[in-house]
Amino acid sequence: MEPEELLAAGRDLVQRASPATAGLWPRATALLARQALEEGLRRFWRGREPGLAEVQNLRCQLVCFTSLCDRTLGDRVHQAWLALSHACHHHPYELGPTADELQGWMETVEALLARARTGPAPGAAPERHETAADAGRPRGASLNRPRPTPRGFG
Amino acid sequence: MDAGFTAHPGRVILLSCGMEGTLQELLQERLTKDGMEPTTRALILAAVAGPASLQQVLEEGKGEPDALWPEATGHPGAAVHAYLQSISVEGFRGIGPLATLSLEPGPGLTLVVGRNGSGKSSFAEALEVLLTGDSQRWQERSVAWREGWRNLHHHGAVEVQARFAAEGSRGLTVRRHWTERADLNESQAEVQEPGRPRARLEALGWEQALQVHRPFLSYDELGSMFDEPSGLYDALSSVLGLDDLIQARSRLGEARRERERLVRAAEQRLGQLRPRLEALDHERARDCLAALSATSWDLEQLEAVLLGPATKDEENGAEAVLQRLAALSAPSLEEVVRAADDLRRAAHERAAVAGTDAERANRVADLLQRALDLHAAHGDRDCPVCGRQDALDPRWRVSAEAQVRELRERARAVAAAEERSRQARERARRLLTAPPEVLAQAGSVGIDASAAATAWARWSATLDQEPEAMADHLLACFDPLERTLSAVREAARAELDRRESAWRPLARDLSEWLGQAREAQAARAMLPRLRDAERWLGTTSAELRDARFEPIANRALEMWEQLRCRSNVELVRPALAGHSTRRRVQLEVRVDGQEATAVGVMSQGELHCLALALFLPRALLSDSPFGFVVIDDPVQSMDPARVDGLARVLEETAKHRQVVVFTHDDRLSEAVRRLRVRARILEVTRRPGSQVEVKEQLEPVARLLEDARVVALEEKVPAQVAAQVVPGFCRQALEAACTEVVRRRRIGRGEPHAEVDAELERVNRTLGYLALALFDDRSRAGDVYAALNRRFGPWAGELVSALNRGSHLGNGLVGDLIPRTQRLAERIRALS
Repeated sequence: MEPEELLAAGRDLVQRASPATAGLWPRATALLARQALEEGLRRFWRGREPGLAEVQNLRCQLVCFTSLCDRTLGDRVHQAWLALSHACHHHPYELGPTADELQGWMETVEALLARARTGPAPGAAPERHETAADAGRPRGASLNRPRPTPRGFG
Repeated sequence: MDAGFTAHPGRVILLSCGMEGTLQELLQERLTKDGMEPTTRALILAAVAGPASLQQVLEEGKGEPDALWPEATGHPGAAVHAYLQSISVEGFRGIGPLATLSLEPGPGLTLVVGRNGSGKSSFAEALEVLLTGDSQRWQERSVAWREGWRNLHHHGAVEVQARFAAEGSRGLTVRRHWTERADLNESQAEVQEPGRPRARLEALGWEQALQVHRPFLSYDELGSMFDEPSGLYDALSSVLGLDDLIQARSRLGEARRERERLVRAAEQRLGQLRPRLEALDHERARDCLAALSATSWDLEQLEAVLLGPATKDEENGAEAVLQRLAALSAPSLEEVVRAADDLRRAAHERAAVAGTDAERANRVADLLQRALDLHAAHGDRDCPVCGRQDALDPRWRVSAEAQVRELRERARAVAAAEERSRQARERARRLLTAPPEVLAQAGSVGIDASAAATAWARWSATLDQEPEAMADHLLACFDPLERTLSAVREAARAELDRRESAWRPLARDLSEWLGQAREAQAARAMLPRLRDAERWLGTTSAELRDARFEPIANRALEMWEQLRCRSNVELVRPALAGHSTRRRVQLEVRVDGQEATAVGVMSQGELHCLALALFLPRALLSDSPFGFVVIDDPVQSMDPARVDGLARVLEETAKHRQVVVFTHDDRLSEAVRRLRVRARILEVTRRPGSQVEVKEQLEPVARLLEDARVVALEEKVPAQVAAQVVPGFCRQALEAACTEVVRRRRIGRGEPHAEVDAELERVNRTLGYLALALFDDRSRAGDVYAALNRRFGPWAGELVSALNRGSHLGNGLVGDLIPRTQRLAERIRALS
């Protein structure tokens, strides 16, 4: 499923009152939103650094996005991902996320998708922080390749 | 009295307030037992009966207050327990479109869980507003609350409705309605019962019970319980049904103070009058003072002095001396002059017959008479005395008779002059009286009468003088006497006037004061009775209060013991103490054996527990008409361990009451499940537009599997969406099973809740949960697959792998994931 479809399905779950989905929509939407976020991030890299899209460690992709592309959006996406991941695991005492929380995270995912469509290539981000050592080095090569990890068990 | 728990076999359960018989009967019995003096007894009973009865007894000094007892108010004897069946809310607070919370009407525990803002508390608040209206509690809320009571997403009328199941009723619906523009306090409430006309809410007669038993306990309310000692006291004591006694006591106190004021005012006025009385050297003033001792006033005597005739004392007193001095008189000048004239005339007459010997003349006359008698009998003859011949002859006879007449005349004149002189002197002597005694007393009343005394002494000094001298004396001494006496009289009269002018206004003031003093004296006579009555009522209501509070205190102690868990704060029996403005709840505690006050040493969480322990028993009293108690968010700021205690307390309470607990997280539900407390759990969620839904929450594993099943089978959920979501739910179901095992195991071996929670909190992936469940070691995630395959078979490892792939990639096969997950979850839960 495309991330847009996942988000649409999530929104539908949140907004359309139905006895069938009563009570389960918060966690179900969290699952969908997290899928959309991860899918959106992969789509972003496919257009710029296809190698990164294949990295299984989502945290690695997020760190790269934040440090190379867009610090502000990167931080937002990272936080949303952490919160969604938290919501996608069972935690004692915790109830599912609220509609407001879910909508906030889905907005972040949408912003990420918009960035994937229109945003400049990595390195052109205005907020990018470059060190002297980074200058002139090929973009992809400047990254420490993430360690190969086993398939992530989130 | 026999207040205590109604004992069910082997258990302490419901509280009975010991309302055997009425308060009136109880008081009468006690008064008789204590042998109370009749007037005091009448005062006590009348004070309880009401102000009018008390007034009557105070005025008449007696009464038949036993007959004045008012109709019993409040505290219905046989309470019908109403249980909540449902709460429906539309447009109120966080709830937009109509949402209904359905409950099992009857004893049992229901948890309503929902995130903050889910609308769960709106149900609790709606119920309270429904039953209590715009009560004080709401008015104290913030402006934001009061303005935001209407749901933003809802337009039009607001309605809250609750259904109750009660004994002897085919269902009771209470409805409160606000029109579109109404304020919070502008609502209409009504009650409806099948087959009966609609009635106003008041018809239920719950008003007082709602205050006294308050079946609502909220976090805010519990938190503010300790803000004001008297408020806490009032909240706890109102349930004891002793308000009538407390009111009676304040009525007696008021009556006593009123009388003390009267007495004090009269005493103060007397305090002003007394120096004036003392300063006045006045008989009546002294008599007044004698009647008014410091300790008792003889008002009859005072009145007699003020109004009555002169007393005996007064006749001998200064007043009398002055009166007599003022009335002192010497003989009048006329008398004195006449006496002097008389004396002089007598003296003159005597001088005229001076030289005449009246006796000799009489004797000569006698001799001549006898010679005449001889001549008359025997005729002419010689003189028998001198012998001269023929001396006695007719010629001699004529001469002798004339001589006898003249002699006799002269003797009579002398005698008369003597007599007149004697009389004149006698009269003069009568004028020359001895000085009056009062002259000697003049000094004692401050009058100088020495000149007068001297003058009078001289006046009366010469008694044996000759008439001439006496007349001179009279005339010479009279003038000084009259002059000095006149001066004494003037002085005495002036002193009398002075005294009288000081006394008269004082006498008027005293007469005025007399009325005030009579009132004060009557008031003072009533004071000891009033004090006795007040004291007796104070002691008795304190005893009744303690006896009635005892079961509540005991239950609170039990609850605290369950709630405190590992807290080192040990509660000493709570007690109600003091009265009126000093009333307070004694909440002493021991911290590691050291005495302290609860408020001083307890944490916020502990205070909440304590408040709950104190107030939950109140809702459990057998005379409450409410079969339910609603507790809003008791778990906030509570340690996990204490949540276990709360679960136990709620379990016990729910055996006899319908307990509905609203809570914002899952801690209480977790504890309830782990401790196998029977409870129904409802989850409240709110979608955009304030669409609030309530769904029964299964235990987590079953619930997550059920959620997965719904998503997989629900036609409206696209298959692709289901493929994304189902593996996630299944994975969470496994995690929930692992969590359950880990908690049961670790808490079972005594690890602190907080540490177990922290350990679980550190896990962030499914393999970590499984590692904890399988090896009790979260770091051994790498060994999980092998262990799964070994212990449960290869299908288990495959399932977990598929779930992990699925929830991240969304491409798992949905169909048989759910039954396999259920199977694995059951195996995991069976781990020890």
